[in-house]
Amino acid sequence: MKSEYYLNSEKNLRKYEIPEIPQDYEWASLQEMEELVFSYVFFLIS
Amino acid sequence: MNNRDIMIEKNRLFEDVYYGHVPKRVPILSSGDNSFCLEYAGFDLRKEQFSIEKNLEAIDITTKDFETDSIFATMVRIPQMYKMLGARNFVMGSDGLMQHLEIASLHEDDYEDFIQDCYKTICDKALPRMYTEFGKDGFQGKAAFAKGFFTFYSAMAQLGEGYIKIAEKHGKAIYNMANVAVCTPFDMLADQLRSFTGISKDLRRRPEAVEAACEALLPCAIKAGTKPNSSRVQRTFIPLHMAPYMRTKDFERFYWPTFKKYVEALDELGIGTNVFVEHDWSRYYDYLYELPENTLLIIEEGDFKEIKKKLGGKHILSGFYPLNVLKTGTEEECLNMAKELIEILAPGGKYIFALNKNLLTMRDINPENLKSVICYVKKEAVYS
Repeated sequence: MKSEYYLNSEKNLRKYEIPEIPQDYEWASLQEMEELVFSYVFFLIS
Repeated sequence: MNNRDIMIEKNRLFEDVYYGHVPKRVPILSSGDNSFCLEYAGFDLRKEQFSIEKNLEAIDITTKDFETDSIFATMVRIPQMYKMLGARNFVMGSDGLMQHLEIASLHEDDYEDFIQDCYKTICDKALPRMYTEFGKDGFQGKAAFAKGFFTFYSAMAQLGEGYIKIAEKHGKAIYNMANVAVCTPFDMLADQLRSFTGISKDLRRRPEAVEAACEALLPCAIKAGTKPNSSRVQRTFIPLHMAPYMRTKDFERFYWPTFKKYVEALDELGIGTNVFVEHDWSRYYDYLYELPENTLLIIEEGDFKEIKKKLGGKHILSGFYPLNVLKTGTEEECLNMAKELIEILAPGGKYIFALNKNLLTMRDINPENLKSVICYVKKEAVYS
């Protein structure tokens, strides 16, 4: 899924200038919010 | 046997069916709405619906009284969230039921942007037209998004915990109709973006744009239909809307290709789908047959004998039981209907008992008839 408004893990790390984050924490601390926003938007149009 | 063990046993009924094994007996899946439960519990829909606690209390009371294998209902529409957002798509009617209104949040001249980046276009153009608070300038629009986001996820977390507690308390399976619900790309485009009227015009005036928009939505549907806990048993619910209103050649060109790809993609990810086949799909049974094996088809209308013959060897069948029989029939008529369905649909094991429609209000049925039918199915639809 590609969109200017959706950032995958790699793009998120770059955007927030976090060079190294343990992979174990990355999902919960960063990427999960991206995914929750995406799911919420699709709930709102359903 | 304690309730925890009963829960495990009931989980097993669904797991067996979803994995293609014959279960101990036919599982009974409930598809009630929280609004039915609030009325059943004697609460005022216009007031208590705003409280997650009261909704859970009503679901608890109803789950205790009906012997379904799953909890009786779930709550999908959070009224306070729609109020906060100034929703134009979902509003509470004077009777307290949440009404879905026809709106077109995407304009015909938005197609090019939508095809280029549908997620961005939904956020920038469709949402502010659908939810008036999002369209407000400055911080107000952003605050509305934050309020809605928090309300939605805090309510869903509270409900999720509540459902598990109710299931444990009453010895019910943890599975219900939807682990997550996401429509087909065409229905997503038609339902609230272009509207019934808009999409009907687009099929004639902008056919290439409609095709491209469905393809653009496909990866989003797959992503939205996949949760971290999704699996063969924690399934994605797909309600089908527009196909019965389309000409067959339009269905073949616009609806079917991305519907099929969507279900196949979920299947490849190891995710089962519960497809609610709304209205009359008799023109499309051969297409439904093509879906991945053990897709659960909840059928609203149709000849169950014909459907068993055509689809029952490959897919799991459910639905069929007409609400109107439960509303107006005698107890004997209701049990006869259940008997007839079980005799045809249960052999082979690919069958889950459910009603043909979602239960929204107490006016839909005579609850005592439903209790009798559920007890009958539980007692009679036994394999071993």
